[in-house]
Amino acid sequence: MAGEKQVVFRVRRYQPQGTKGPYYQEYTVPYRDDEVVLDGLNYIKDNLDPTLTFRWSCRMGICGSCGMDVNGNPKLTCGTFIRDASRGGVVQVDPLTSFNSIKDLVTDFDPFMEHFLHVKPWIIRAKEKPVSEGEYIQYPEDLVAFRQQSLCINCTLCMAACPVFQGDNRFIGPASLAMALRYIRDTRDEGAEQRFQRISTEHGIWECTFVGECSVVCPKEVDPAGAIQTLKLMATTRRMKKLLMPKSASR
Amino acid sequence: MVEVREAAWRRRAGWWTHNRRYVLFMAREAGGSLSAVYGLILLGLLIAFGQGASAYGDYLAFLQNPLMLVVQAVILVFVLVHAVTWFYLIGKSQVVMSAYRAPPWTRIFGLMIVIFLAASAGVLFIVFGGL
Repeated sequence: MAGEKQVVFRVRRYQPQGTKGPYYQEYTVPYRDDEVVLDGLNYIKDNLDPTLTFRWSCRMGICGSCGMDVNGNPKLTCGTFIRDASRGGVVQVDPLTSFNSIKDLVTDFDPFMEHFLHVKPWIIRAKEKPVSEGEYIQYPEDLVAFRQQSLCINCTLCMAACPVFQGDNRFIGPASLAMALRYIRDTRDEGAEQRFQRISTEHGIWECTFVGECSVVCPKEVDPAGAIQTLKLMATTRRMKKLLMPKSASR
Repeated sequence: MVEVREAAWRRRAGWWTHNRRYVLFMAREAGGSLSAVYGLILLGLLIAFGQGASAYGDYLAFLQNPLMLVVQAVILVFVLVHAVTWFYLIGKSQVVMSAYRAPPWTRIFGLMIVIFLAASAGVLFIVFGGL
């Protein structure tokens, strides 16, 4: 970070062992045009204040660790250039909306993880076949059906952007619901019934009011909003099939 | 075992005013409610019609007073916002109609606007065109 330009990082701090609540601290950071907000935070930690705490790992939009609110919008800080984020020479960084802060910019993901496990994000088989019988065959066209949802990196930006989850964290949320669709559409999976029992509920797909912000902030173009509408249609179709043709509604 | 104290996140009042898309969402929801209000206004018109020419004339005069004109203009704006923002979202939900090859949202949006304008023109022609 040996640039000539300077920007002020206004960072929300919180120390759980301290006596005061969250507060903002400002740091003056030099930057170049090719540097991102995560570079700025690392500059602060390396040169100005080693106590600043935040999550990050890959720096290339894959791990989903560095999600934070930048100027009030959920962003991956590794993919947000300082030059774009600067508002009048200031970049404000907060912990992700909707989640409690454990320390500084590190949030408690437990509410997300609980919902995530409820949708059973793994392949479910009614009966596993022996390894000696070979792998489960899947064709490229089968993969197309769920490839978009499989790109999710669990960064939870969509959860932070979702007004429904902000208001009630019992809502399963867009990330977990997109993942539910990913497995329901997987031709190797036979767990659709179990998942629909969990997601076709008051705090599941029917709580989504289709704001669409989850799809706007998603850095991987997973389109969770579209996924949830798809699940609504599938759940309705399954319900109707159960009513009209009870023996043919297994998937 | 050290107890972890977390800083609880709280949603601020007026949260939806800080994001243009949240504002549009709230306007869309309000538009849905206001369209129901306009349904009641039309229902009143129907009831007045059933009560005879005098009651119908009185109701029309009531709808034409300045306050009611403003109310109807506000409802029209919100219903238009509701329609246009909903057409915008149909491009997303349209994915459910074609799981493997989703049409671009712009095409769906454009088609919906054309249908909307054609239907509105049809209604205007029926009401004012002398059918």
